[in-house]
Amino acid sequence: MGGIILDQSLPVHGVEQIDPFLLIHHWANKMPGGQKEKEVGVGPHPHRGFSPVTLIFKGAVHHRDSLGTKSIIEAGGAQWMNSGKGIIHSERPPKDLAENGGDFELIQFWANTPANRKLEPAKYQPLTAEKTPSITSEDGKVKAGIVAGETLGKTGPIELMTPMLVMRFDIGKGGKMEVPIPKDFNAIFYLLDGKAEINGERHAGAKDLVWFKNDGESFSFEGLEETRAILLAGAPINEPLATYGPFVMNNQTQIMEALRDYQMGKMGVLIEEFDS
Amino acid sequence: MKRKEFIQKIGFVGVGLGLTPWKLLSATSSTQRFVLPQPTVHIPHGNFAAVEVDKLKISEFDLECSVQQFMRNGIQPSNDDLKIHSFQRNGEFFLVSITRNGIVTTEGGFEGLRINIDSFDSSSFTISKG
Repeated sequence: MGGIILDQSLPVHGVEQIDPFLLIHHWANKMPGGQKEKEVGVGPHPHRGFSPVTLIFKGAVHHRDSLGTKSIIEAGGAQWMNSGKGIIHSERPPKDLAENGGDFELIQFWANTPANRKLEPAKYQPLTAEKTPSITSEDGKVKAGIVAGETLGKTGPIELMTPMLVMRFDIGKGGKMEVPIPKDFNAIFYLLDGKAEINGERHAGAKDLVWFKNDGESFSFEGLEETRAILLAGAPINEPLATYGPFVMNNQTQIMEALRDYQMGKMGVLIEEFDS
Repeated sequence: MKRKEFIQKIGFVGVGLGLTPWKLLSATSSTQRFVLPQPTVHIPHGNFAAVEVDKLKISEFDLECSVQQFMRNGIQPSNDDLKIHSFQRNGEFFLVSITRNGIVTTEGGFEGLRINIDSFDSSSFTISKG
């Protein structure tokens, strides 16, 4: 089995987090086909103390977890998992994609959970493209999906641990939109591909991450070509951070306790079942 | 921000069943020194479940030991990198965590045994009775 090559725009040198966002991975791949589902993707692993969130852009992701969940979400959808006090899950391209091949693209980001809610029970929230509220720009060239949070009169269906706004954009050439963001939110705009002008001044290209100053209550963009992008915005948690491997806690002792609880089986068990 | 690329190794998921034979380095009347197993290295959302964990079994004390090393940012070594040494006996745990810059925390323990690890870079540990 080969490795996975992906783009990591957070953390980067000198930037450990953009509170409450801890990590952003962009994984785009052409599945060759001729593989078994159990040979692809990421097998069972634990999490505690934050929400790993997957936005699917091409193909689909088969999520299984120790709560007993089996959920395939296709392009345009999202998988939002509050890992809480502990959960084991796996994330794989589904059987037909592994066998027949095809495009596969996702972004996974990690959103931190405040200390007083880190040990709540884990919860998985699936969101399909059809159930994602959408907004179309006045010029008809931008379609925005609201995954979580509220803006422009629409509210994303995900139940949040802290105030946040998560959106996905399909931007046509010349398409413009202004998006309100609460001033206290930290905000990131990440381009999967294409090129856009931000706030009428700066240009951003594929795989660029734009980190906004907290000096306004909106931002705007114009597509300079066909562009796909996401917005991650959220109220900072402002707590000590201990992020190690698959655990995000507030101090070193809590990380140790998380590893102990995983080793003792307290985060549950996931035995994957495959058709072949 | 410039993109950052890293490689995540994916392999068999699970915990290795093979146990490394314990190796006694030295002993006094009350203290014995043993070689630690090789640490399993983890990066954020990396290879946590995809690597086998090297385990050391010390039959004399009915102890099993493993070491997991966590890179804080997954990009480069940092002073905040953490090693967690896990010792298990009959469902009881003793854990020692040490950062590269020397911050130590412990959790649990075994009656009648004292386990000591000198530093983040230690390749051995001691067990004292009493």
